[in-house]
Amino acid sequence: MEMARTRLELPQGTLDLLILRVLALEPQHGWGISERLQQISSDVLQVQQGSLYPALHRLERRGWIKARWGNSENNRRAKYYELTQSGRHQLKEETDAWESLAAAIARVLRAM
Amino acid sequence: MLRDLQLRLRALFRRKAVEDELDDELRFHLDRQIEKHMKRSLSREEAVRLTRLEFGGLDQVKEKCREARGLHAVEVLWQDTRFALRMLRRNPGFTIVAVITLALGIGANTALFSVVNAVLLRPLPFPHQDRLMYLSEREPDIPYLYISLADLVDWRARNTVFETLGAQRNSEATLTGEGDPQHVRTWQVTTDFFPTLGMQAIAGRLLSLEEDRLGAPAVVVLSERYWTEELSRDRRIIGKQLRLDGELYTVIGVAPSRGSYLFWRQEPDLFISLNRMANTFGGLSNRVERRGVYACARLKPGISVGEAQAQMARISADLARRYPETNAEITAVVEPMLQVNVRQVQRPLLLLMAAVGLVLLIACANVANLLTALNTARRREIAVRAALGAGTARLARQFLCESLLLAMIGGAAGLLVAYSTAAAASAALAHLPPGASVPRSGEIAIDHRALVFTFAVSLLAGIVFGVFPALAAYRTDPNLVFKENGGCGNAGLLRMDFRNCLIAVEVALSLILLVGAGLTIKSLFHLLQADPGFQTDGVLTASLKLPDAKYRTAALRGDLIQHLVNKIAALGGVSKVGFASPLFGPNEQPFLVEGRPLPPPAQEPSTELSRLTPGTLEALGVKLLQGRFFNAGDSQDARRACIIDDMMALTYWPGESVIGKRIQIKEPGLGDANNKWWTVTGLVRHVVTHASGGPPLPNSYLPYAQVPANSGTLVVHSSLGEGALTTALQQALHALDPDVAWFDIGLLAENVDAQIVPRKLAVALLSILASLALLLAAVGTYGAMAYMVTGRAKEIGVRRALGAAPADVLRLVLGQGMAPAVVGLVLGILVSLTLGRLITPILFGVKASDPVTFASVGALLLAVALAACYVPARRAMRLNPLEAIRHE
Repeated sequence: MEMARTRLELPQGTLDLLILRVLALEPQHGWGISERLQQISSDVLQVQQGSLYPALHRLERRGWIKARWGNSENNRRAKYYELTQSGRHQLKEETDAWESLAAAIARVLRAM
Repeated sequence: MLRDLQLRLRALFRRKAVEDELDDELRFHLDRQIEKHMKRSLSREEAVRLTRLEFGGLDQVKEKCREARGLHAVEVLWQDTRFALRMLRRNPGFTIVAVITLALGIGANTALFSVVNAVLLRPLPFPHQDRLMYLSEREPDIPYLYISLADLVDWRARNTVFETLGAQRNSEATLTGEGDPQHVRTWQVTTDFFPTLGMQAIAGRLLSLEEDRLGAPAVVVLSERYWTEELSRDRRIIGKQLRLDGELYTVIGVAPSRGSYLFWRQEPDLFISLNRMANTFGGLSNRVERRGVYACARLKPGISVGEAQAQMARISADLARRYPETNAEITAVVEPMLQVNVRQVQRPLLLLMAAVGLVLLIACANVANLLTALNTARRREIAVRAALGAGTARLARQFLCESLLLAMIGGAAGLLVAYSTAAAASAALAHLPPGASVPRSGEIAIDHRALVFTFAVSLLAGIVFGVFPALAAYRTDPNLVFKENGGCGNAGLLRMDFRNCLIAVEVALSLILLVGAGLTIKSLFHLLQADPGFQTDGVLTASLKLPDAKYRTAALRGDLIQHLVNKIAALGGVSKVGFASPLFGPNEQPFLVEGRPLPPPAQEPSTELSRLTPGTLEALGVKLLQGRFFNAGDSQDARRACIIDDMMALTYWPGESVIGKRIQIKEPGLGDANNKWWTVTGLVRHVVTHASGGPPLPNSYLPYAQVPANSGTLVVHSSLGEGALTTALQQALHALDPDVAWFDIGLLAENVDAQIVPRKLAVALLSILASLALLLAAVGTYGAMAYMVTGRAKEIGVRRALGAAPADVLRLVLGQGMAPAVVGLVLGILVSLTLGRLITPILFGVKASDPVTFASVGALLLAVALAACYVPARRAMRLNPLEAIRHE
């Protein structure tokens, strides 16, 4: 409970970017993505796990990721997602956009 | 894009597989998460609980995944439809009332649309009918002139825009030979008339160029209708001879029937050559006399109406330069045939269309009202669905689906209503007298266009009455509903306002319709009650048409008619007799008053003009106010005399004696008499005629002997029976000229009644629509009020328990219900006053702002609203306070 207070809510629209980034490393299933997100962000970012799936389905529909069924590390059937060509492209664009936005906001905040 | 489509299709057709995959995927996640927590040595229950918490509501996630996949527009629709059907089945009372309401509203619209479609919209039954043009000539002060044959020749020679250019002239003839002489309608046409319309012979052949000139052999083409009715489609008739107006004509072929298509309205029996007869109406080189010739033309492909008009204007301007005496101010006008065909019936039809539109709007308001009431009662159910993960968008879609389904069922039922109504309308219009007939009314049917229209209207109606409940759904907050203990008291405030608006709108729309119906009913009443200025008792009328070829000169025409009138006057039992050309119009002509400044072009006053033999006005019992009737002294050589009516006298010479005043009449058919002054010798009472259909015109009369026409109607006042008199008339005419026959013999009273038929029809239609509107508005207001009382039962109970008297409750309920009704009343009155000028042309003897009509309609609606409020109010008064409070 202590920890929960230091967690940050994810800004609107950034979940897609994070999913794309995680999938850029290797194909992964939903649970794996959520674990990875927590690991990388050192538990700072709080993602309601359920909200991951609508996002995945949305990204799949847009053609940025595609899904196939495979066997997981404990040998269970799991749905793996991987980045498509256009997904890679999208990731780069969104990363650039995010970085320049973050940099700009940081500049403004420092200037005050 | 392709991927998207693929996924969607998969989602649609492999719904089960896709759902299973979703389940598997999510279960995998939950299992892994539980395992993870259990590894941290949590108990299984703890792990499951924590996992659920981290994950969020499983059903919501699933629903969101489905939405994200863009699943299933169709699947959702199917679900919604099934759900909507269940809802409708569960509320049979609501469903029945709503469907009947919609069926009446939509059915009335479809039925009237089928009339509009047949009469106004459907293309004429000719190949490439959009290229068919009607040509007329225009003088600055006369919008529609018949054309002169010489101009026609020039047009044909010079234009480059028309493929063919034909002319047509209405005429009548007498067919003699076997049996009694028969009156037939003929069209005199030029050779290219048939090719212009794209008509081909169905037997024999049509008119050739050699047969369409002066001195050509006489040939006749039968109309298919005449061929069928009179000759049983006997092909052997071709090559035989018919005796028409005393001349032998060889039958050369049969032209196909196309119904009452052109604006000439009545199909002819026979077609004969126009140019061959040219000398009977002025000759081919004549530019002065314009006797009944119409022209029609077919545009070359790719030429627009505007281009044709521009060229014809140039040709007219050139003719005006070359023949300044006759053509100085004359311009040719090109108009699409379809447009000309429907000009006269357009306004009344569109007015009626607006009226049924109003009825449908009222019906929509009613159903919207019912739906909101129903949805308010369903608020718990809705809240449960919202809590279970149905988004507001989904809920709104559900409501819209319900209302669209309802609208479609209503539309289907409306089609049944329309089928029977359209058949009745077609039959009613078919019985109109020829002069008032509606072109192409025989073609009225529910066709594919009407079906598409019905579908569109139903869809629109469904959206109109469905959008409000759907919007209300967006405002539904599930928490609020549960907290509120399921009642529908105060939280309904917003919707209460909406319902008030509905009541106001319904009352306003009904008022507009009722005022319209009231005004037309009053017009008809005035027509029936008004002193027509003549009497019909014992008066018989019979029409005739003298053959043009035989009665070429004015003297010949004048002599025959005078002899005929004298012969009939001598019959025993006949008291008065006269001949009128025409009797009671229509023959609207512009005129000028001596000593008055010349009115600007096209703004000259017009008069209903007729030529009369002495005795005609006496036979009709028209009252003489000043001067004298015509007598034998008003002969060909005497001073030009005229009789005017008090309507004209009051306008131009109020308080003066009119005898000796002079007017000039600009009837094209008067020829060289056109520019002469006519001296008033008599003043008579105004005679009400309904021929023109527009505002009443002053009558003026010229002596027949001074300008004899070749057709007209005999007026006989006698004590003889109809049969005996008819026989006597036939004998008298036969003795003078066996080649002429009477037609339309009958009692004047019956003729006059027939002229009022179109108005009666309009009144009947508007009254039906207005009653429908009144009924719907009453039901709507009652429903809204009853709902309000039920909804506020608890509050009323509390008030009663706190000491409010039944009268207070009554005042509360009545006040609440009547306020929107009064607002609607005021709104309706304002709109009606604004729209008044639209209806003015079809009114008679009553202003569009008639205060009596407004007052009585307003009172009627108030009474209806009061009654609709009173019944629920009385129930509210009798509510047992304790029961009401405990009720929920």
